[in-house]
Amino acid sequence: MKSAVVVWRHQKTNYQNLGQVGIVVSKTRIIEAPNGFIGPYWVVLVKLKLGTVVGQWADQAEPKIGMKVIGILRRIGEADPAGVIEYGVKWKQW
Amino acid sequence: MISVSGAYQTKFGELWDRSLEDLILEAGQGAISDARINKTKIDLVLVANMLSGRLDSQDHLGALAVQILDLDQTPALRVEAACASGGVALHQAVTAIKAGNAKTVLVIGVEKMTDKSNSQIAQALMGAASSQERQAGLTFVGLYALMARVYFEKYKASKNDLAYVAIKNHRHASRNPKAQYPFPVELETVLKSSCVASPLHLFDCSPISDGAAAVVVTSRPQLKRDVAITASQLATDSVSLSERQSLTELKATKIAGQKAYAQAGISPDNIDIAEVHDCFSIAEIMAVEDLGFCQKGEGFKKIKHGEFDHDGRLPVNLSGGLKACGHPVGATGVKQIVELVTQLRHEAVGRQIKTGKIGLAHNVGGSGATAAVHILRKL
Repeated sequence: MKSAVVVWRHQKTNYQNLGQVGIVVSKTRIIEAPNGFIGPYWVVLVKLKLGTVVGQWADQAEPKIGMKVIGILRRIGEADPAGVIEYGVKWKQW
Repeated sequence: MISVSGAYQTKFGELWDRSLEDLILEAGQGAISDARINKTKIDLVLVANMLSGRLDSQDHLGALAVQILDLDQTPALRVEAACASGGVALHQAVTAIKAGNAKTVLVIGVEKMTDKSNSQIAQALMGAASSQERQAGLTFVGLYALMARVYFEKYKASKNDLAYVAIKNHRHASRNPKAQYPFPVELETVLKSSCVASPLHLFDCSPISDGAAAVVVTSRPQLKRDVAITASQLATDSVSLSERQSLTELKATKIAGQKAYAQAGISPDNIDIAEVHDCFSIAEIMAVEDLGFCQKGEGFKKIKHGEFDHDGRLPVNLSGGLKACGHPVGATGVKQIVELVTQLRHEAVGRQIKTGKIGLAHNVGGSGATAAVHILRKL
């Protein structure tokens, strides 16, 4: 369970790729999800100008290798029992 | 000369009637008995484990093992390096002996996993990944699936090619009574298994397992049954997959392997038998390439053509590997050593290699952040 303090601290880094544009270099559809997530969902590996990041996919269309994508603000994971909702960057087609 | 004088593995599997303590007791006593020494000769106990605190609310495993095995006031500690905990613990044993702090070390690898649900295990294992990967909802299957997809693109491999890893390792496990899945599987079964994280399916994945293994490592004068450790090397890489230079190889494996060959004064061609870290089918393919057993991009073809079978050029994972022998994560690296020692002593009933004196064990933590490579030689 994430504490409110941890979610607050994550704000420093969670949004740094917001609005960044990159290219999908790999992808996987997670069927068996870990605690705190409800599958299935896609996770993409995105190559940006200044490095590579992983993040969840947030688009109707299926991600494709080589697709141009942009980072957008979305809720990440399920809210914890204390009701703290964490936001971060997910990816969609650009 | 540092050698392994005692080796023992418990049955791997869903051992619902066995506790963490039961497994430590059986493995520890088994290795001490196999070494044919008085337990008062043990100077240090190392317990390799990743998840007992999270899954069993049991930390402080070093002292616990000493209590269970009645080893009096012997110094003891726990070693954690994710799924490479066993290999790293062995390396620490070698280091302690070389430093003159111990003459005989008992290394126990143990994990008790099947009391928890799959999603709880998936979450706990992600403690070996980065925070960004956890936030993305990735699992370890997912991390290796991302690597598999890049490998497929680069080397024109497919999901069908991965299936031959599972078929080989299940065939090997069918001759190992201590394996979790001691039965062969057909191609159709593997290909029709359910998807876990695309493109990896159930039979591409090692299972959730309970089990323990232990070895006695010593600098005492070598006896006939002892097997020498001629190389013990570790290497690390970024914990985050996204920070890696390449997604089709594990740099830590390459570096640890190269350092181990140099330390032992041999080349990959000299290896007679290997236990490699096949947590997922794509991991074995990358391992046989990164360890120099074949060229990059050739691993899946060589496995399909039987080069790493029991009767092939270089038998790989005769225990059944992580895939079919099972993967109680803290125990895996130690179990690999137990299998090599058993083979090099010519005591592997039903699955014994005909000839061979040099074995290699390759143990990986996380998605490639830690790699331990050991080379053993029977004199």
